Formats: sequence, C-alpha cells, structure tokens
Amino acid sequence: MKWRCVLMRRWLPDYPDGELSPFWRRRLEAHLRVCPDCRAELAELREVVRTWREHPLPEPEPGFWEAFDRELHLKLAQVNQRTPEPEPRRPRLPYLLGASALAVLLLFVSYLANFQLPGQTPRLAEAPKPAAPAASVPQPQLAREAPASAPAPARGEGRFGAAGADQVQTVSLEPAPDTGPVPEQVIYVGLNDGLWAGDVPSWDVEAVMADLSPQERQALLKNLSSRR
Amino acid sequence: MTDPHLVARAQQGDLTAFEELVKRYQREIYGLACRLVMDPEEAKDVTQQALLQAFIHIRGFKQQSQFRTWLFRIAINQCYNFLKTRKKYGDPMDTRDMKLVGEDSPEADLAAKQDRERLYQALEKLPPKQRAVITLKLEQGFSYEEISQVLGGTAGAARVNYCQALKTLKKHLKGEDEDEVAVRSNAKVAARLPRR
Repeated sequence: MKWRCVLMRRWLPDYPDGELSPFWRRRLEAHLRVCPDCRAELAELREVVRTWREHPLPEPEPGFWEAFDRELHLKLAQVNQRTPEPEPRRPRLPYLLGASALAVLLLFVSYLANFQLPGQTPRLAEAPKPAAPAASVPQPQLAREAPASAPAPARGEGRFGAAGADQVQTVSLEPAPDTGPVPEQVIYVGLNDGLWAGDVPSWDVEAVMADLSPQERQALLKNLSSRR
Repeated sequence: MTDPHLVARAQQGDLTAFEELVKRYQREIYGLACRLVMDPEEAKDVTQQALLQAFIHIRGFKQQSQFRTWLFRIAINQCYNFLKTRKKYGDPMDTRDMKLVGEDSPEADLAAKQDRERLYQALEKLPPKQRAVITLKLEQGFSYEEISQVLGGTAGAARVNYCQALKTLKKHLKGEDEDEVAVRSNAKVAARLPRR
C-alpha cells in the first residue's frame, strides 16, 4: 500500500456525502480514479454501512413503551419526593484550607515579630508620671469655685509661692440672695513682685483692684459676679 | 415547546416537563443502550437509570450544550458502567442468545437473519467506544462535533474513531478474526522455514 493510499483511506468513510471539505473531496476523487485498491476499499466500507442500515433494531412489542413509561414515572415520582431543595452553596474545601493556612501564617509572623534576643531588648520608654493632684492644679486668679475651707497657700507653695504673705489678701464676698453664702476668696494682690512693673493692661482686674479700697473691691467683685 | 423551555421547567421541579423530554428521546436512548449493552432487558434498565440520573442532575445542566447531547452522554456513561460491572462479575453475553423483541417474526427470511447474527457478532467484538461512535454516527446521525461532545475529545478524534470502527467492523464481518490472521501468518512463517 502506498503512502498516498494510507493518507486517502482516512477520509474514505466520509466520501461522498460525509463531512468532507471540498479540497479533500477533489483530492479523493482524483485518487480514486487512479487507484483500484482504494476503490475496492471504498466499496467494502459502503457494504458495511449498508449492512448496518439494513438491520436496524427491531421495534419492541406494542405494550413495551407503555410499561416503560409507567415504571419510569413511578421511579421519577419517588426521586422527586426525595430530592431535597438545593442547599446554599457551601465554601469549598480549598478555600477553607487556604484560610486556615493564612491564619497559621499570620500567627507565625506575629510570633516572629514578638521574638527578641535577650541582649537586644529595647528599653521601654518611661511611663509618664501620674498627673498632679487636683489641689496642685493652678487655680484661676479669681477662683470663685474654691471651697470655703481651702486655706491660703503657704509661703513657697502654689502659684504665688514666691510672693510675700502681704501680697495675698482674703476677701469675703457678700452672699447673694439667690445663690447662698459665698466663700472667702484668696486674692493675689501682687503689688511688690515686679510682675506689674510695666504697663498694666486695662483689663487686668487684679491690677485694677490693687488700688481700690476693700469696699470698692467688694463692689467691683459683686458687679463682676453679677455679670457672669 | 422547545427543549430549553422544557429543561428550564424541569429544573424547577416540573415532572411533567421532564417526562415530555423523556418521551422525545427515550427511543434513541434505548436504541443506543441496545447496541452497547447487547441485551434488551438490560438496555431497558440502563435507559431508565440514565433518565433517572438525568432528572436528578438536571439542575446542574447549564444549557451550554444541547439537552440531547447531555442526555446521550449520561446514557453512554451508564452503559460503560454496566459493561464494566458485567466484565468484573462475569455473565458474558452470547449474541446468539440475544433475541430482540420482534426479531423472530415468521416473515423474516433466513438470509436476513444470518446477516443480522453476523452483524451482532461483529458488533460484540468491537470495543465499546467504537460501538458507541458507530451507533451515534449511523443510527442517530450525529455529526463529529456532537460525537465529540458526547464521548469527549475532539471532532477529529471522533472522525478517526469512526473510521477505525468501520474498518474493524468490516474485518469482523468478513471473518478476518485475529485468530485466522495469526494462523495465516504462522503458515507463512512456517513455509519460509527450511525443511529438514
């Protein structure tokens, strides 16, 4: 058998009415005109196809399909009753494995981040000192909210520690009719501390009060408290 | 109503729609099973099993191919499973005992009966895949593309498979069994041997 016959016989089952491209159909026709062996092969293949088509499967007996449909209907009905509703889609196993692997990796990385050699232990920054107690918070110069029992700051203590005792005066305000008794107020006079050597702004109440008599001072404080 | 409409209704659990689909294709499926299994009773069971499997899994059918192709693929897989089980657990079929319903009609002449027996015997010697491809091509009229969708592979592979199946069937119909070929080749070899 020539190589050309081997090549052509691969297309013989599709000749003449099979799925054959026009190119191969023309080549096959040309080859069959000159090759008697391939013509005989084609005739034998056609005989096989003819034998097959001459003997189709015989039809089953008349009641076969009725019985078939009845049996199948019963089976389908059973299956239909047992078939559950489709469950919501579960996450797939690879995703679960990937998530667990990622969690393990994160744990390992966090462990490595916390791992430190003994000689390389960095010193932690010192914790900030606790906040000063409320008594040492600088009081406003006119602290009306100070308790009545609060003593006057001693020498060398408080904001006015450097000031002399003669520069601190205790003023007792007149009780207002609606707010009850008003505690005594510690007023820093500050006449000789040098802080007021320069120009005194006109809004400085203490500077203004320094030149006032106690009665005028009380009147001024009363006026200020009534404006607040 | 077209196949996609019926399939869509069957996917929502409509048993009537699925039975309509079954009535369209059950004869073709049964014919394929008869050719592959070579036993009418077993073919009936295999056909019913294939249709049941199709109903169970029809929700997973995405209609990317024809329903007919999908159904044939299920049927062929069921036939393969049956043949594998039969090969594993014995029970070989003898084609001379295979009597399809209506085959022994009195008007059937003797020559046709002999031809049919010869064809069945030759068919039984074919591998299941070649039996399937020749059945799909000659009986169901599938194209190579459809055969490739049913059996897997490419259209070119289906064409080569069909060509090989025809040649093998021709060889078996002509009685050129492997045994005879072996005897002939041995005779040729023996003739070449020098006589003492």
